[in-house]
Amino acid sequence: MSHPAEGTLQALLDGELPRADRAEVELHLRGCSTCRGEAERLRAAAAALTAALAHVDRPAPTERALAAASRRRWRRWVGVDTGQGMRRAAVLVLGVATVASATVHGSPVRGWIAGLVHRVAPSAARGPDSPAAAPGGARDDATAGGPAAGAAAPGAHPAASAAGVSVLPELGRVRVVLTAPSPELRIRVRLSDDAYSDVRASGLASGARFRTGPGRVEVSGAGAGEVEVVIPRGARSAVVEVDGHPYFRKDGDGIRLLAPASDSSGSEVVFTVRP
Amino acid sequence: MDFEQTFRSLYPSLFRYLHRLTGDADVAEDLAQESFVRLLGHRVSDDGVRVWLFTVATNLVRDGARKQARRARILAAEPVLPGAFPAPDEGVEREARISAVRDALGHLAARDRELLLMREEGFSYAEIARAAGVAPGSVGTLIARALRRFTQAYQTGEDDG
Repeated sequence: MSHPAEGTLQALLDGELPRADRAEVELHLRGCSTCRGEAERLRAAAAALTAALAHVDRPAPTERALAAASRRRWRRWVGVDTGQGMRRAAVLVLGVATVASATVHGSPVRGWIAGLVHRVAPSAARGPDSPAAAPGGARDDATAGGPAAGAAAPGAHPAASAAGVSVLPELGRVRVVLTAPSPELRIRVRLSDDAYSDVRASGLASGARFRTGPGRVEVSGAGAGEVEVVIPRGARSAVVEVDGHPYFRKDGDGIRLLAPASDSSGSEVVFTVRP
Repeated sequence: MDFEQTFRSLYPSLFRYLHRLTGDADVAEDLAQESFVRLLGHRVSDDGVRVWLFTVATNLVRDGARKQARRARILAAEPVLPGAFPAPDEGVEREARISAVRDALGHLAARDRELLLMREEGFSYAEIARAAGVAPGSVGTLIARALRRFTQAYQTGEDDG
């Protein structure tokens, strides 16, 4: 037979050649040093690829991902993600049950609601140095009279105010997501030895809205001021993204800047949303 | 099909494939989870689940790549500032090795990357053809060429480094 094609040799090495063809090609290889060399080159290339890929691999976060997928699975079942009727039915049942429970003296639901009312009142007066624990490992604070969780105080000059939240990394991961910011917003990312990841908006950005989740902060509608993001050095991974585009990423001890930085020093870097 | 059992069985392979394909663990995690969540809404035979998941995940990567293409072109003109946040010495060598592998993979066409990485996950040629959307008879040739391109790019990168 004539020299087998490169793809045929590859299929032979991968065990994909039909039995009859395989016998013919193997017979050819025994008498053709050129094709044996070619087959050896392909085999070595495949081995080199396998060895190289092992360098970039990291353990799959199977258990964490399974927990997250299970939550989304449940949300689908009740229709939160799909908008199906099950969602409305579940909300209705929960709502009726909650109202009914709240009317009963001494019920846990009534006590929980009363506790919430008492906790919300003092939070607006809290200073940045006295953060209080909030559900989900988050804490929030506001200065210059701004209410917690970001909105500037009515009547206060935004340039004189600041607002922010802090979250603990979730399983070592922090994600800070900015959406629809002003093109002139400055984003300062700083590494810190603190356990919390702080996100603070100041100046014209202080009217931004904040939402927190486990290891996650979302900042939307930040104006043309500054948002400072403090990343704990101990975080296993962290990402700061703007409108879906990552600007800053920390993986272990490695740092990557994925957007042009307007300034940087040893432990901090500054981005402008659209320089 | 038991979802949890399927997840535990196939997730590590899908995550590894996506991480190698995208170079980003967070993106890999998100896309792997999205693929599994989409699986919930489909009737897929047990035999076909693996190929189905990899096909969906590959399409998600392609969609994401298209959306990022314009931004990538803009960023390509902007150098990353050197010296910011220097990595510790002990991590430099490992980072360099990872960077060389990713650079070599980056020299390949997207389809070539997909073919090589699916082969690494142990897919048959028929499965690769179905997931990547190529003719089954062409898989061997395409893989051989992609291997040659990868080897050349990787060796060039190591020589330069």
